[in-house]
Amino acid sequence: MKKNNYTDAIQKVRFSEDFNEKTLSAIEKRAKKPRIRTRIIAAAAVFVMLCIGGMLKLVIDPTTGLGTAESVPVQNSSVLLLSINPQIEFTVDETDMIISVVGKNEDGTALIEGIDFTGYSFRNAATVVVNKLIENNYISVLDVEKTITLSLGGENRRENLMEDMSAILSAAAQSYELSVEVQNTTENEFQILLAQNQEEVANENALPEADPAQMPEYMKIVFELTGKVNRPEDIGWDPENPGVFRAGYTEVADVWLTIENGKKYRASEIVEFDTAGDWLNTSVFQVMNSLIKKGYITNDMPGTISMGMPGCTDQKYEETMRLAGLILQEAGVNAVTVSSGPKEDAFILTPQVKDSQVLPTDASVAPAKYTMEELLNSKINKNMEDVSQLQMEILSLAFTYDGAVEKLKPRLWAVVPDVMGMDGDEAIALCREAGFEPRVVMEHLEWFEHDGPERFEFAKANIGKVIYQDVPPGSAIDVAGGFQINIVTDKP
Amino acid sequence: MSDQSVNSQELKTLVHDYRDSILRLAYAYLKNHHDAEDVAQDVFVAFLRSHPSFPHDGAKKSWLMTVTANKCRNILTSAWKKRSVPLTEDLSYLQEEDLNVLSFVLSLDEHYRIPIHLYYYEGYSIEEIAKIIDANPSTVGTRLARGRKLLKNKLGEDYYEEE
Repeated sequence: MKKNNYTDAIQKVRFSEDFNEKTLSAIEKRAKKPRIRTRIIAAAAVFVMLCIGGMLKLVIDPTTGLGTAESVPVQNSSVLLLSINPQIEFTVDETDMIISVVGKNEDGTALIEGIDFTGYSFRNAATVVVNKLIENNYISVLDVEKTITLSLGGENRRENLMEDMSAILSAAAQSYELSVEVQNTTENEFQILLAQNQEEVANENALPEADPAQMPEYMKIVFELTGKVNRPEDIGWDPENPGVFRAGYTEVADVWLTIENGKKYRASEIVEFDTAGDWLNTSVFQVMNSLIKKGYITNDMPGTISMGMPGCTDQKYEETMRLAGLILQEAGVNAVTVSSGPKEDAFILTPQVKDSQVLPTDASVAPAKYTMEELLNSKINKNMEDVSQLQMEILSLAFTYDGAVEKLKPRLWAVVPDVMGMDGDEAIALCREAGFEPRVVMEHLEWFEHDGPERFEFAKANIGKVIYQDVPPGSAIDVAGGFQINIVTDKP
Repeated sequence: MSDQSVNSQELKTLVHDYRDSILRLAYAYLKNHHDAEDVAQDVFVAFLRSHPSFPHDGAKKSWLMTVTANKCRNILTSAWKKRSVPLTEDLSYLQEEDLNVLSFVLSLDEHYRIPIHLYYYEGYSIEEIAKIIDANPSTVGTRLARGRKLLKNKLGEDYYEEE
């Protein structure tokens, strides 16, 4: 074991009990159960068991004399019916192992189609089903109000099933910031009420909603950075941390927002959580969105907002400016322009309606070339300039725009596997799917620290050459947050 | 010796030797000791059922770790993958320092916390981790590096690391 703080901590986590004889015996028993591979066979087996056991009873309606077949639970089993619209029935044995999971209506059947629950514990099966509910938007962040009913049945009714399912559903809903209220309506029924969370974060110092009657004429936001990106001198062994290799980075140490009245807010008071340690792009995205949400950045805002990032490199600065433009477009704030400011370390959001207030702009900083819509829908020539531009915008979006990865997937030309949570092979496959033959080289230089100085020298010689020397024809390159991406196009 | 006794003895040895590793990896994935215990049972059942043979104990452990990771990932499907579920367990028995670091690591995205767990707690190499979690070694290396950096940033001077 390589020791660090984490190994000490997780070693101390306690588990309920040792695996005693009873547990071992249950494991063996389960291992000896025949393996039923398909849901159809599983359902058939349950049906056969029900029939053989004579556990179908005829219920006679005294008024009509007609009978209907009604299933009675397997001996000592417990049944939980989950109704949210899809209805799913879980039948478990006395050790809470799944006997069957069955859809009780069309939506329920469709939801669990193809899932083999053989050998699942109730909790695991419940988690899988709840995830399916989320994937299919039966539980979603948009839920204003929804009721989920859990009904308990079977010969051996165990409340722990309702409690476990309720806990899993609640955790899922809460992760979507929904409020959850669980009501034990009858002895055998829970109702779980989901609603949009109306509770405000209690923070007396938080930036208030903008007052339309008293909008500030001037706001200044300063992002204090802990590092710089894209400068050769920032890549190398860290003199302050022996053995640690620095790849160059731009992270935010702190954010300060000053309003004309002199009131200062820190990051946690602007966006209600701390942005310290975030990438600059992420931080800018969060702060800008918060200001849009709170009504400070609007189409008719009266004044200007400067966004300063002292010490930021030109490339990162330009990239962040483009990002600001995209955020405004996405939010429909079309009457506000982004331009470089009077100082090299700040750019300005200016309302177009007040021409007299437009500050000097730097002509060398181009506005965003593509809108989000164009990125998603247009065919863009695969020349070097466009690939480079597109790459930059995809990176900005990927870092920051929630959902962008999914939306962009079909059209991705180049991807950053680490950022997108996929590995290199997946990344290449996606590029090929989009009709683009890439050679994606994505390395994080810090990685080479694991392989020692020799590997580092190799990396520096090869990756560094690509980054800091001329890019060969047909190639595009970008650097963001310490990632180096070299894309070689098939069409020079 | 009957099959039953072979299985019982084998199971006891298996549980004795690997229970801890399986439970803690499952915990790192699922953040809940009940779920981790369920997964551990599922893993042992899977082992008894498939009865794989291995050239050495390291391969056996690697198989168990891979099955654990797969079972956990089955539970954590994509909709939850990128959401950090806060710790809901009562861990008040931990000292504040341990609780802080554990909470922080468990709050990290799965992509970072699992390589951190396997690298530090189990002592696996990047290549071994890549096999267990079915990922590209360079991807694992990247995630590990970033995870370590986050850990260092969070803990500052209190961070220590021995190899």
